[in-house]
Amino acid sequence: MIVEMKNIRKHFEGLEVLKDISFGVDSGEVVSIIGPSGSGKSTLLRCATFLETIDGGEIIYMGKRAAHTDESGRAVYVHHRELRQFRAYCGLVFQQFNLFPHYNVLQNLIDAPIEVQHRNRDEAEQTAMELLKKMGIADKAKAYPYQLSGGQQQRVAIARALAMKPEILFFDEPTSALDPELTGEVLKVIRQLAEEKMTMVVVTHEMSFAKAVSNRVIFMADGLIVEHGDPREVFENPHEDRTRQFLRVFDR
Amino acid sequence: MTLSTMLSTMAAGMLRTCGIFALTLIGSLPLGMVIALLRKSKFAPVRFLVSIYIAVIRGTPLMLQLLVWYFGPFYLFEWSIRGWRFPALILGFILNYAAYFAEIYRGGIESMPVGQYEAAEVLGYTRTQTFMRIILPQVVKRIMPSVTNEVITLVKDTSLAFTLAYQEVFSLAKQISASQTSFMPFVIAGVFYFIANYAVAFAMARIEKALDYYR
Amino acid sequence: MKRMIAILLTGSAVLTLTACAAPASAPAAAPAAQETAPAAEAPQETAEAEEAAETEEAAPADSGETFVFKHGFDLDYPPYSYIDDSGKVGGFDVEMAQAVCEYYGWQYEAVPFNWDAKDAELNAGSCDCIWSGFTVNGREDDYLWSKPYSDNTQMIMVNKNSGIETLADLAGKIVGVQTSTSAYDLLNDEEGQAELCKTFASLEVYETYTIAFNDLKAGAIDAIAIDVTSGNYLMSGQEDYGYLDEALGSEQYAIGFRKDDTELRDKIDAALDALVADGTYDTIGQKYPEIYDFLCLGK
Repeated sequence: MIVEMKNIRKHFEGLEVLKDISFGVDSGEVVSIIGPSGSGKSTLLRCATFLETIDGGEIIYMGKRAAHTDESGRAVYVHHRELRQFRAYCGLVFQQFNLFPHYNVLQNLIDAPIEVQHRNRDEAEQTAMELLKKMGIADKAKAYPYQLSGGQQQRVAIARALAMKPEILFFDEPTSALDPELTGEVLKVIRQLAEEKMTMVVVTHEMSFAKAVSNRVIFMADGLIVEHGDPREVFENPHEDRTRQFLRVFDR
Repeated sequence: MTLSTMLSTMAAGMLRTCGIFALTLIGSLPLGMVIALLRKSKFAPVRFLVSIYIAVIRGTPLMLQLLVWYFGPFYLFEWSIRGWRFPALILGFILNYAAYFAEIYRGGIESMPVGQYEAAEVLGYTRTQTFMRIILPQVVKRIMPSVTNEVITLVKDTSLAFTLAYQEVFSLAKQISASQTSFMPFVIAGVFYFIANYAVAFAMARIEKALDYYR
Repeated sequence: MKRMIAILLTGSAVLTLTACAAPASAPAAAPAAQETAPAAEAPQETAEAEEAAETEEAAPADSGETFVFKHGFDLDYPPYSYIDDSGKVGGFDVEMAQAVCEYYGWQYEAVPFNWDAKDAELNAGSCDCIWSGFTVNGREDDYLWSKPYSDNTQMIMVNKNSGIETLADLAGKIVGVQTSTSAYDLLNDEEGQAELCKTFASLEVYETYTIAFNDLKAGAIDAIAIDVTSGNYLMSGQEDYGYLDEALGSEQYAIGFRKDDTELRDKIDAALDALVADGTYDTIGQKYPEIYDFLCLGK
């Protein structure tokens, strides 16, 4: 297991966003999380990548516990220095890309490896250029984010996350901010990563993509995992009414 | 008094004006950042004290502040204030401008989208790294127009040094004008301020242009 | 984060210290202090040295160390204290103060101040006296005074062709005056000329007489209320202007000291007597024809 989330609970100002969520991801797996907006998908990713702290439950990376619930029922995290190591296991691709506008593409890719991981500049640049080649944007290495299309920016963002050599990559609706004609180029890159057995969790509204690429699909609604299983099973023969209802909207 | 005597007498004042200007900037630009960061401190009493300081500085005239810094040590503690004139002047200017710069910095820092912090956090940057490498460079670009305004105001505010009888160019213009019953010193001072501000505006435009490589 | 703040704080502290150190040379660069080297050493003096200097005041001439006489004045007040044609500090009061210092062997230190802050400067000890065409009348109890050394009269200056000939003619006219002058005080004093002032169309208050005089030339105002000495200085070489025969008021100039500084006051008074006796007072006075007639010591 790369990551295990057990009995995760999270609330914002009285509102229960995550109610007892448990799931795990194995090495090389691609897991899609689908569900209506407000179901807690993004919050789950943000908890998994330590942008949010959980109220209760357990987070385990590579067999090591990053957070657990103590006797009093509160979530306890490891010391923040240790937590930095856990952060290194996971990467996150945002809906809004969040590239650093004052850095060019290459700098976006090498700054963290050099400054955070203290890697050698030549090695970091070489890794970065290989990633850009893979993303089909090697010619944009010296361009600034504002000079790129949304699809190109998101591919840079994916490359930036990969440059840190994470064990697992999370995607938070990676194509939602893109014009429809640009989603294809980003999905293609993710599909390519899946073929290379990159471990990934993708929150998405692209149902056909989820069906074609994932090993497993999780359907979430109202802070709960409603259905969880093989993509074909979930999409073609859902057990739950809630799932059927949701998929009907997309099938029209 | 010949025009050349007038010019050379006033040149000394121009140098002093430039001195106030430079020392104030050197002191207040970094100090403003410290104050802006203290204002966002996790420790509530610090935040409170800093907000009081900013409110007092912005709520009172600089002229009054200069008098307080100069005469305060004597009236409060009976300390001798010999030789304290120029330090008090610079202290007053730095603390005043630092408060204004702090507010500009704060506005710039708060205008940064939260996504920049989150992207940095996920990539494992420490808070200091996030601030120095990701946030600060972008804040600098965002606040440049406001800083330019403030710097130009400072050029003109240096004339308030007359409050402490420091003979910068405007005090000298007044005094020479009185002794020569002539407007010429004011014309010279006016031309000086205009050229100084033109130079400042030019320099700031160059900096803004240099930061124009991204959006 | 903490380390960064520490670095910034240290940086600012260093800058502040540098700024504090700078004045050591700054006052010396001021034209006001050009002829007084000691100003440069002032900041290094310790508190003890300061106290010692104050003790000296009690017996300035007897002390082994040289007493530094800090002459407080306004550089905006020709011909008593101003920037002369060569760009140096000069004027009748400045020359007299220097003559007193020479008489006792004191060190002269020029302390030009902002006139509005004169009391704070005197009380805080940054100067030893206010000696700058300083009017006694109305301030008799506020300072310890030397002997009056100059008479002064407040007059009304007009364009000779204006048709204004008496104070009564000023009714309905616009009159200009400089702020913080005795002419200004007189026009606002109920026991002075406040009644007359009420007959004016308006009283325009100026930062300096130079600007008021320009307005008079331009016809923006009809008259200027001014000390005769300042007025003479302003009008020199200008044929078209003159005073009304009737004076607005009269007063005397003297040197103002801190109220407990009898020792120094007496010293100065004695020196003034000596300078009158040896003719220095008259010699210096002759350099300032616009006020010479009003000098009153020894008359």
